[in-house]
Parts: sequence; C-alpha cells; structure tokens
Amino acid sequence: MTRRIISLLLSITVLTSLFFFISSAIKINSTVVELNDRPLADHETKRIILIAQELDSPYWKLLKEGASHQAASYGYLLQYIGPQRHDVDEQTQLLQKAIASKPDAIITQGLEGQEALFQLAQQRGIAVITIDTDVPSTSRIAYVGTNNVLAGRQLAELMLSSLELEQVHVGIIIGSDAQNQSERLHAMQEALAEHAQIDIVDVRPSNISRLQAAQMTVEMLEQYPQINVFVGLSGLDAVGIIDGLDSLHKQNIPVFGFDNLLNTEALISEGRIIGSIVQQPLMIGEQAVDVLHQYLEGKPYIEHNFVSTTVLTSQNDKEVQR
Amino acid sequence: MKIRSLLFIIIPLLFIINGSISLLLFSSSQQVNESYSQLQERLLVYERLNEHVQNNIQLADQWLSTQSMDVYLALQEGSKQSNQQLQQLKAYGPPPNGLVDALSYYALIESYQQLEQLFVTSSIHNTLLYSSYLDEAELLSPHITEDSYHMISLELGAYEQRSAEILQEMYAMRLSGITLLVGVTLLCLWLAYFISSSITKPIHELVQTAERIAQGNLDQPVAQYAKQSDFYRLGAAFKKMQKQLKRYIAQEKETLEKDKQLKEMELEVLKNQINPHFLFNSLNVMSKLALIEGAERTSDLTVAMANLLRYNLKQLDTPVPLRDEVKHANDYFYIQQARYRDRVKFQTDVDESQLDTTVPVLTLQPLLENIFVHGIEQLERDAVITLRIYGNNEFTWITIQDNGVGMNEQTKAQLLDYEQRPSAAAQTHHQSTGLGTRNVFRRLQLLYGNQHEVKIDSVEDEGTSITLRIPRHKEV
Repeated sequence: MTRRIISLLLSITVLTSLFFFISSAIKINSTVVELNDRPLADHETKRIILIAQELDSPYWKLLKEGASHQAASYGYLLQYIGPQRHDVDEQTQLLQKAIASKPDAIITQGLEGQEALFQLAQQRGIAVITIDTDVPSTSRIAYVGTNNVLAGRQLAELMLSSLELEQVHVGIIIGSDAQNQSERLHAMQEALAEHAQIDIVDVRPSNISRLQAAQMTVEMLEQYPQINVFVGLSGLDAVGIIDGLDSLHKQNIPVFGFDNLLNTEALISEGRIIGSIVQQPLMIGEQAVDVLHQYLEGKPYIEHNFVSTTVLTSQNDKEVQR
Repeated sequence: MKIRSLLFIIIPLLFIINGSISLLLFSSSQQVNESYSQLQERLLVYERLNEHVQNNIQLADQWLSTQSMDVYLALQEGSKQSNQQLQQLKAYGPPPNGLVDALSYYALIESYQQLEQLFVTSSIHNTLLYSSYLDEAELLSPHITEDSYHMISLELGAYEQRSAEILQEMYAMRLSGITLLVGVTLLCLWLAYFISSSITKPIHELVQTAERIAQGNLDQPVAQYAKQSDFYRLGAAFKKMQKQLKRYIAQEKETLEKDKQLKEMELEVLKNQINPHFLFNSLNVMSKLALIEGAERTSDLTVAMANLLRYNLKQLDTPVPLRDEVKHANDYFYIQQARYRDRVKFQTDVDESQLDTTVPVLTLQPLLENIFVHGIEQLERDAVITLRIYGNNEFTWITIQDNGVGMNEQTKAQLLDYEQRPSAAAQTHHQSTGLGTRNVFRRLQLLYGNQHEVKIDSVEDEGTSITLRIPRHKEV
C-alpha cells in the first residue's frame, strides 16, 4: 500500500512538473516567436499623422480615440504625435517633421501663419485636415470641428439665461490665441455687447494649462476685485478657475466653461460651475477621418464640417446646438 | 515484466527525460538570449543610423567650408552606410507597438537621404543650391535623432512587455525543472529499489525453500511467480526438482526393500541347497543294507526317515490334503516310537470325510514334536497321544491330546500370542520352546485369518489338548 502511494506520488510529481516545465518552455517559445514575428511594413497602407495641441490633454486623447477607431475601420494607420506641453513652436516643428515623413494625410490644428507648411504638404501630395481650430487656407482640404462662433454665442446665451446679477463683471480665461479660442471670445463679446449690465473686465491666457488658469484667476481677482463671474474658454480653464477661487476662498463666484473634462461634471452638480459648452472630440476625430476617407477615395466631401456642442448644466438638460 | 526488458525501457526513458529537460532548458534560454541579442542589434542599428545622419550633416558642413576630397569620400561612405542601415531596419520590420511610427521613421530617413543625395550630387560649385539642401537636411536632423530615440524606446517597450513574461516563465521553468529533476531522481532511486527488491526477494525466498529442502522438508511449498517474471521458470524448476527428489527417494526406499527381500530369499535358497538327493540316496542305501543284514525294523525306520525328510523338504506354503498330513504324522510317530518303544501310544480317531481338507504342509508334525519334547519326555510309561479329526461342511477340527506334564499359564499364553512376531529377547530366552508350535499357529492365521481358531486346554501334570479349527474350503 505504502509502495503504491509512494509510486503514485512520485509519478504525479514528475508528471505535473513535466507538464509545467513543458508548458513554460512552450510559452517562452511562443513569446519569443511573437517577439521576433514583427509585422511587415506595408507601404500600401494609408498612413495618417494626427498632431495634437498637447499630447496628454484629455480632450485631445478623446479626439485621438475617435480618429484611431475610425482609421482602424478603414484600415488606415494613425500616428498620434504632439508636444508634451502646449507649445506652438514645437507643434509647428512636428508639422514639419510630419511632412518630411511623407504620410498620406495629416490631421492638425490650424496653425496661425504656417500656410507655407500647408502648401508644402500639398505639394508633396499630403492631404491636410484641420481640426478644432481652422485657419483661412487654400491648402488644407477641410476643417472638422466645433463651430466656435456658435459655441461662443451659446455660452453668452447660457450666461444671460442663468445669471441674475444686477451688474456682471466678467473675467475671462482664454486657452490660447488660437483661432478657435478667439472666435469663441469674439462671438461671446458680440453677443454680450448689447447688454449694458455685463462688462468684460479682463481676458487672460491660460496656455491651456489648469495651473496657469488658476494663477490667472488669482491675479485677475487681485487686480480687479469686482469680478463676479468667470468664464473659461478652453477645456481645462473652468477647472483651473475653480482651483484659483478655492485658494482665495471665493467659492461663491459663478464659473462658466468649455468641455466636460476631468471633474467638470462633478463641479457642475456641486453648483460651482454653472454650465459648460461641451464639444465632442470623439466625434471630431471620427469625422476628420471620415472626411479624409472621402477625399482619399476621390469622393466628394464637405469642406467645413461642424460638430455640434451641447450645454451641460446642473439641470443636466443638454441643449443641442442647432 | 522481465527484469531485462524493464531495464531496457526504464534506463533509456530516464536518459531521454533528462536529456530533453536539458535540451529544453538550453534551447529556451538560447531563444531568450537570441531575442535579446536581436533587440540589442536593432537598437544599435537605430543608434548608428542616427549617428551617421548627424555625422554626415557635419561632414557636409565641413565640405562646404574645406572642399576636401577626404571629407567628400567620408560623406559618400557615410551616406552608403546609413542607407544600408535603413535597409537593415526595414528588414527587421517595425516593432509591433509602433508600426506607424516605424513607417514614418523610415519615410523621414528616406526624405533625409533624398536631400543628402541631392547635396552630394549637386555640384559643390553651386554653393547656393547646396547650402539650401543642407539647411533643409539640418532642419530634419533633430527630428531624426528624436525619432531614433523614440523608436529605440518603442523597441524597448515592446521587448519589456514581453520580457517580464519571459522572465516569469523562465523562473517558472527553472522551478519546475528543478522539481522535475528531483522528482526524476527520486523516481530513479525508487525504481532502483523496486527492481533490486524484485530480484532479491524471490532469490531470498528460493534460498529459504532450498534450505528447508536441504533440511529434508520436501513438502515445503515453492512461491509462485508471475508468468512474465524471470523467476517463474526458476520457481517452476525448483518445484519440479522437489517432485523428482521425492520420487527418487520413494524409488530408493522401494529398491532397499527389494534388496532386503532378495537377501532373505537368497538365504532361503542357500538353506535349501543341501542336496536332498544325496540324503535320500544315502538313506535308501542304509535301508537296503539293513534289509540285507536282516534288520527289518532298521530298514523300515530308514524308509520312514527318508519319507519324513522328503516331506519336510516341501515348500512350507504348499497346501496338502489332511490325509497326507495324517500319514506323515504316522511316519513321524513310527520314528519316535523307535526311541520311546512302549512308553508311548498313538491313537487316531479320524473322520475319513474330513481328510480332503487342505492344510499347510507340516501342520501336525511340529505339534507332535512339541509333545514329544516337552509333554511326555519325562513320562516313564503309558503316554498316550490322541489325534482326533472331525468336522462338518464348514470347518474341520483337529485335536491333539496328550497326558503329559501339561503347561503352565505363562507358557500357554506365550503360545497363544502368535499374532505378533516373537521378540528377539523372547526368542533367546525360551530358545526353541514352542517355536514350531507358534509357527504353525501363525501360518494358519496368515492363511485363514479369522476363520481359524486355536484352543489350548492344559492342566499341569495331567496333559494338554490343542484344538485347531480349519475351514474346509479356503475362502479366496
């Protein structure tokens, strides 16, 4: 009996360890094979380079997600590049590099004063699509993004409908001097100009950084203590403004913002942010690739593609733009 | 299983297992090492390519200022090198996590190389064109460096992802390999023990059996082994040997018995070899001589003596009719009368019809002899011996009576105790006392079994009567 048990135990030990041993060997082998099995570089595959304004910004990541999803469905390869911090010069250099690496298409923000690069790309047969921000250009094939003029008006309307102050002193944080930002600002200013009780005290750039937005808020409030409403024109501005207000313990100042990034929604339900004009970066990304697909296939396409924005407030009623 | 085939299977099996363990371990680590060295090679190529690009731009700058032929050649060489490296990279293929990055990278390098080709081929004298190309190339060079490192980091990333898995598997493999090795070693030891005991145990058993047989215990059971075992035949042979041994011993015993009987017979034959004819002839001569000399009684006595002798020489087991026995008894008495004369008288009362009953030869003579020797020797006169024969259809009774000294109870008991062979001690002690009588009784017993009967009536100083009952027809 004991003999049987010992024999059995030994056999089981040997067989199980043999099994594990062999399975490990097989796994190692397959892993190594996988490592060595590198995909063939297929030059026929269409290659798209997407240049972000800021590589790790949530807005741009969403946009990339939409674009890459759509690119995958068409069988395009999408490369996502961009500066680590918002930097127009670097963005320009990246555009140069992208042109030098001869993709089939480039999706980028419209860059102020870089028409020459767009032309160069066109010369080299690279289709350029601008997203998020457009520039007046003959060389880019299309624009996909928010209608920023409408978005600016939408924000103004939201402010008028939700503010019940007698005298409104507005402090504005603008993401950058990019066209999309300035379009929003001008549209909003225009819409508010008719209303005498609203006066825009100051406009300062955050360089699409949450930290800078907070700093600017503090600086503005120190300079103009009468400010009783803040508006952030780019995605992270509203959150940055709240940070600044928190550091000054002025939680009662209402804030308006753009997009629904980070904890914007939570701040809205807390009542800190009155409302936000939400763009749909996922859809922008998707649509950009769609337009590109039309173009690459030689099919007709629309030059100006506007993606709607929604209004996000504590009532959670999403009012769709147009 | 036969030990030989067991060993033939197990030893190579263990070798194969051990060999394959080593082979697998070796080949796995070899594979891992190879993939690692391939990675290193790729990284090195990225690095070199970048270096060449940067170096070439410097060289191109130098050429613009020095216009030295050496620099030009170096530039051409560098250009060729970087082209080779690009082809090499393309041959490696892009890393799985950076397909598009790799394609862009290749395209970037190619753009640079085109520029390089342009300024290498463009005339040095056309300085303006040359420097414009160079400027453009210089613009690209930081991107190339950047992308080279990006590619390296992608390669490393791709490898790192997998290398953690590989390391883990290698660890698991080493662990299971050690377990396997220990397990196989233990299994070997166990098998060695098992095989050796499968050899020594039956041997031990057989040795024990052999020892018992040597001690004379032939009925010792021999252990049975499985038919495939080597010990099956050994055990079977052992069993056969045991059986044969038993048979030989039985045969030997039989032979000994036969020898003994043969010797006894030989002795018998020797005894009988005294030539009886010589004695008869002598006795006949004596009888004739006595007749010639006128001694008629002597002649008659001699004839009776010859008859007696002839009768006595018959085979002891020969059955004879009772008539012959009676005649022989008369002859015997006649001879004895020559000695005892008138002191003894022989009376017969015989039923003639019973005389056909067969009895063993010499049944009556020893009884008469006994009477003469022990019963009536001391009687001065008037000794009477009576022989009475009577019977019915079943049995014949023979009674011999005398009026001699009789016998005591002890002698009587001794005579009647004929069923056993007389012990040697008894024989020497009583000498021939009653030996003939007892022999008669014993022969009757052997011949007739329960059907015979012996009765002795004796009163001391008054006489003895011995009665024998014999079946008329011997039952077969």
